[in-house]
Amino acid sequence: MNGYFIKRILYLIPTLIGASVLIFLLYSLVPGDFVDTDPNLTAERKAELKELYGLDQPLVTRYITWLGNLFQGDLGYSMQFQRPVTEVLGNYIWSSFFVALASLIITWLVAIIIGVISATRQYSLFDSIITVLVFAAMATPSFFLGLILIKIFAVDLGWLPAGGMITTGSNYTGWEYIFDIGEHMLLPVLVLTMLSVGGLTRYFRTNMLEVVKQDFVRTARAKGLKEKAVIYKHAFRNAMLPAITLFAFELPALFGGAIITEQIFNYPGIGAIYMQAFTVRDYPLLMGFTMFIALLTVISNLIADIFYGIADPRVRLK
Amino acid sequence: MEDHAILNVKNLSTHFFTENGVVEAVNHVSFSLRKGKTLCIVGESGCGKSVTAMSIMGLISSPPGKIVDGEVWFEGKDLIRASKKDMRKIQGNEISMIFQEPMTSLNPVLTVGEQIMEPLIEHKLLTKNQAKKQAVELIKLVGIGRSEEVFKSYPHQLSGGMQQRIMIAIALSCNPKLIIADEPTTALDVTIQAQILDLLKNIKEERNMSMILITHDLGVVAEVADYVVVMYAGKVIEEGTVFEIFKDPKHPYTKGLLKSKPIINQRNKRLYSIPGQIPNLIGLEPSCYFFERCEHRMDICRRKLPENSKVNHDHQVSCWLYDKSEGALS
Amino acid sequence: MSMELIRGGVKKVVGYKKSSLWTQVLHRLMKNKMAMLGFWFLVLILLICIFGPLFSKYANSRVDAAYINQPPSSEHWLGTDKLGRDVFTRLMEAGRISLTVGLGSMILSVTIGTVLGVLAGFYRGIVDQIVMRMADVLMTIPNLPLLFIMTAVMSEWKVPAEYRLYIVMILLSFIGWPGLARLVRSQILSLREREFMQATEALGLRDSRKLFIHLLPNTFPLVIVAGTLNVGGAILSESVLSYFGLGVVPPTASWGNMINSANSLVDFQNRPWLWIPPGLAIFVTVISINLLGDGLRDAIDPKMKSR
Repeated sequence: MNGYFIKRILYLIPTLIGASVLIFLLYSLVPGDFVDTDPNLTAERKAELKELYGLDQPLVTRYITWLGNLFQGDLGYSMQFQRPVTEVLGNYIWSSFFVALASLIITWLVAIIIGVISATRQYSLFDSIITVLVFAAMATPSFFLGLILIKIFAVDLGWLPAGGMITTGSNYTGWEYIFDIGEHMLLPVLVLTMLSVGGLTRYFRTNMLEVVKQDFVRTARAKGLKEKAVIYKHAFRNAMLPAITLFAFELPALFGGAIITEQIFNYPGIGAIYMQAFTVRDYPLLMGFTMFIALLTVISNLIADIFYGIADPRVRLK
Repeated sequence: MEDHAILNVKNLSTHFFTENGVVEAVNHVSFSLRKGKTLCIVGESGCGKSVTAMSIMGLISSPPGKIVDGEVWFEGKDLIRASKKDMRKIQGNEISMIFQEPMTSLNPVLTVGEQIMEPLIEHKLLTKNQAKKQAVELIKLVGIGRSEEVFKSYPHQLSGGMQQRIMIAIALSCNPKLIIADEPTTALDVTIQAQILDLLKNIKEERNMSMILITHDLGVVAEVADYVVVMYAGKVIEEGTVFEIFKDPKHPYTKGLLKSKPIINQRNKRLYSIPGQIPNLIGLEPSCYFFERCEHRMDICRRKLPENSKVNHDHQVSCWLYDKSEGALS
Repeated sequence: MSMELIRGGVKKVVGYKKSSLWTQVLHRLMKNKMAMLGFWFLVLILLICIFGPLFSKYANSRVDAAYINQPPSSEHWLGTDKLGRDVFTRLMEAGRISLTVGLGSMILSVTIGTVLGVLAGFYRGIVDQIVMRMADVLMTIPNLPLLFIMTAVMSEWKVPAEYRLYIVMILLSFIGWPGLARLVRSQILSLREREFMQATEALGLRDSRKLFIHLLPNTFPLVIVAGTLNVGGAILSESVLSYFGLGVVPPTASWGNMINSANSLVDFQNRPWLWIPPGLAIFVTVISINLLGDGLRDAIDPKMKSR
């Protein structure tokens, strides 16, 4: 078993190196950089800054320096914030993380419950309605959904704030503060949830339908077990197993999705920071963020594999 | 004879409603099984043997399957009309079933022990500890050493033969009156097959249970059966005591089946095989379903379903060759 | 077991009727009401987008300074925008672009994905390693940041606006191929294990024959389904990019950049006819594509039927 995981970890190295090369190459392809785009600088000052940031070095040297720093946990130095990228990310990641986490939990709860129920009642009215809703959720562009929600709930009805994370100029404390943040988080969480809930519900439903057809479910029925035990003890566990690997993709994808929601809701998280960095071409921050998400994906994958190994006896003992 | 019957299947018809039409998988099947005896259902694959067993067990999934007609009497109850709750009390408790593929019939994520304990806890209302003790005993009973160790293992850690022994242990757990074994040895190695059959036979005798064994292996039938039911295309075409069927088979299909079985010490140039294949079970015309493959077909076979006719007290066949009624002469 | 039996029965029916696989698939698809609904909607949308502008007197972004920011009326069904352009006509013209991007990028990613997937699955070894590691890398970086960078590069290289849609197409297929390649590869790998492929081995057939006659056609059903669903995904991605001003940019209209007008507070609050119709157009188009793709999957592989 240990051999299996060591192999898995070794396997990740070329993927990560590949990702870093791709990210670096893409950013270095962009003509013009932070220094070039600033019209207030003299040519002399530009050259100085370029030397300072190592921008005058050949591509390969720059890559190796960048990668070397990366290994030491140094994602670079944000030109826009004049602080290390890790620090900037560290400042903004938590507000994004809470939104992502909340939507992750809601998505999974809703998807599992609805997916399983609609699978056990295949062909029923409930099942048909769910199927239609799932298709609708999968076909809605998330930014459009966000806009519609703001229009309805913030502009027209005035129930919820249109954006931000806290009410500007407020100085709430204690529960009021938490409630205020919650109010601001509601719509972004809703949009992020809609983004992934459709596909996931569908996934659970299909899985469950597949498992229910298996021979061992028939055996469970032949034992005279209650339908509940057949579904939840025998079928459900087997249907949930492959979902563990899916869990890994979700969190990084939600950080990716945060770019859209945070932009729309003007929510101060890393997605919004990413877009800001984008407009001023703050490459170290952009590269750091992208590399960070790639790393997150790879690590979550590894964790998922480990969990899967623990959960599935067939893998566990190999 | 029906007084001693533990199971009485009358006119059972199970159909599957598919997008291509209605598959008449089991078509007016009747037979009865006497207490303490073994009944073998034989026939080629796809002739309705398994569906018959599932119908008795109440395991036909609907949709697409549906039992459209018939009765299954077991201990004074009609299982077809029994409520789900009543049926559950019989499944795994009074009638239990062993399936063809032990590998896929065991839940891969639960330990073997847990799976044996389940019916004990459900039907015999044992506590976990009592059930565990009993499960370990059952594992010993089906001839597996290291029973404590096996109790804790997962299905994939066991060989096919061991897995089938576990399935038997599950089936035996509540000491049922009737065991239905659906081709229990087909998926196993030849050497293991004999062991499993012996095990089933011995336990059945020890506990005085009744058994329905579904198989296409006539060697097995000769060894364990008391009574034989031959099915073809969803219908019973011949039935009788094992002695009658082997000594004096009547239906051309039964004859063909017996001929296609290799006999030791007898070197035929070539093993016999029945030409053709089972007809498509969708939209069958009223005719003898074996018509196309039959060596002795007559004009009437094409037009009319043969009725059951008695050869003697222990033997019935449905074939126009033996029908002495008026219909046959027309 | 009982399902086995039915399948056995069905197989025989196929044999008897001698109808081809594709006729069967078509037949099953026609019976699926949801899929057909999706199909006809799609046909309708295509017809409107292709031929609609030909009948509109406001075609080719005709600007009418006298009619700026008009709400919907009998004259302008969906009102006019800030340059006095008819929104409905523009919606149809944008549809042409969005659908072109969706279809074009699908064709590209299917081509790349199939070729690489087949090569990886057929030759295995080093080829397989290279292709699959590339796919891994691309799947490790979330699509959105990746697309953003690539479109930024495109902006910096000052690609003329009318060519941007082709570049968006290429970029979308660049991130779209890995999924397809994996799918095709695993299909090829499992096909290789089947008896009929071992037979071709025994017969000593040439590689090219094995590939084009025996392997490739067997991947088509899967590829068609994945490709159909891919169009929907591409349309959604394009709309995100264009909304953020990174994909297709004005004056070329796309559904995504039409919604962009919602970025102006006045338009967002008071002129919903500018940005809600394109959003609904995306929704209806993508849902139709998904329904059709889903129906296709069920029709092609009834075993996998999920509904």
